[in-house]
Amino acid sequence: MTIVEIENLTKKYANRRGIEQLSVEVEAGQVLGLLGPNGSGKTTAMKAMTGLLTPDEGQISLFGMNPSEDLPAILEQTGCMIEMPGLYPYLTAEQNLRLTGSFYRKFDPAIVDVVLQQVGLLAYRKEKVRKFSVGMKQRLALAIALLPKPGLLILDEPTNGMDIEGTAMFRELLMQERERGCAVVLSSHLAHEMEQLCTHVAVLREGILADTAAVPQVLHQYGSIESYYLNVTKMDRREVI
Amino acid sequence: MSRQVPLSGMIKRVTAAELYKIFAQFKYRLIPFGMALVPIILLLLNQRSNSLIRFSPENLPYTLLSIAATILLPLVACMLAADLFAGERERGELKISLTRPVSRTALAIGKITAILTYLAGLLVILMVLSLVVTIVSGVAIGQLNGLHIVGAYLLTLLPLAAVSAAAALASTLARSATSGFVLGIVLLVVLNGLALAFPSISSVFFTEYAGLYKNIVGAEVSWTPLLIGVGLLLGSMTVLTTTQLLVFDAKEV
Repeated sequence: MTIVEIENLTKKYANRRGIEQLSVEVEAGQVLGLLGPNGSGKTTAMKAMTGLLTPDEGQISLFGMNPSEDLPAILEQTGCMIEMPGLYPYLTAEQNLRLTGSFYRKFDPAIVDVVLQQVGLLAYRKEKVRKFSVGMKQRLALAIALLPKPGLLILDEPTNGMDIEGTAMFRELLMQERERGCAVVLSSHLAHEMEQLCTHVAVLREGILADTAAVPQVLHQYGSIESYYLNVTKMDRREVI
Repeated sequence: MSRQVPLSGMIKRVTAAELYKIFAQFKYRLIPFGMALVPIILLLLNQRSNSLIRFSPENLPYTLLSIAATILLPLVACMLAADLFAGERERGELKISLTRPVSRTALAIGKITAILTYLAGLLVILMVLSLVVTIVSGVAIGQLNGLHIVGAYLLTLLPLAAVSAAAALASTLARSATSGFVLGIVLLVVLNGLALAFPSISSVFFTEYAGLYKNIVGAEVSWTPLLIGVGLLLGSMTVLTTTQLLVFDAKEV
């Protein structure tokens, strides 16, 4: 089942950065890793998917619905973590989750403890977020993304600032979500992390999709995602697909 | 495939969430206490023989309402709007709400409704305490027209709704909580200033109707100015809220 279908998505900012003619698909149970340098358009693509930005051109379909028409219905089943999340510092971890959960039509408060346990923050549930480290905030943002038991996860550099334990926890958690049939779109600068987590990768360069491939194929051909990425990004822009 | 989520349900959920956020912040828990002090301070000042502030105790509910509707509550509305719109965008918190299953329209209306609900709560505190202070000052309960007082406080929600919509618009246009607050205040001051400078057209400014309640507290209800005021306030609210929704909807976060 196709969860994400993006066709010729274009979004340009005043500084001419953004994305151009991006087309990708993600099936249920697949993890698509977006690779690319800063400013290559990874976050822009994710923001367009979650309705934070309005595309200039192109089509986005999530769960067969169009975000410009059915965004609330899409977000009922989508977990997002875009850039460094601005959590509510004056609330505890538990209150942050309860508050964000209250936006959903069907919210079972019992899930709060479950997701806190999953991200390893159960012991800190009563602590105010203003006292949290960057890594703890990332964990909490991940817990928020997991609240709706998502069919799609959109995660923008989710392990930034996380310690080794946190990264391992994240990897395990993502595997569980993948096995459950959740589709994931993930961006990261860490090629090694992508190798372990993704089923597919897409390389973005200057807002253009430079290449997309299945991870086993990449590993077979190049040995590592890093070699693949460096090879693809060395290509002349005219060769971009 | 298309699946519509009802707008009313979304607004209800957003309002509840925004009120939760408001009351979770110390400053907004403190404001009702500060507001409760106003009638008490006025009572103490009134009791001092050399005080500059003198008022007739039976008029205290209206005196307080006038101060609240023209100064205190617009300030609180600007503060709340600055926090809930520009402040949340500045701190990145808006992204959390915008990626939940609620539309931007529901989010904006829910926030304005939460602001108005908070202001209504402050009005209730003021009304109850002003009545208590009036009775403590020696005015017999029978001398007070309870229906008029309740009506006056209820009617004042209308100009406050227009002020909240204006403050929300100012905050949506601003880049930070501070500039949102300042812009809200400047907007209200400018409108008041224009009304003073051009009295012949002052009736078109919604800020002129903070004292709308005065039309119902006399011996007879002044229907014509009351209906004009209600119409103008509803019209202003519609224009301000629609503009705010359009600006909020177009904002990229």
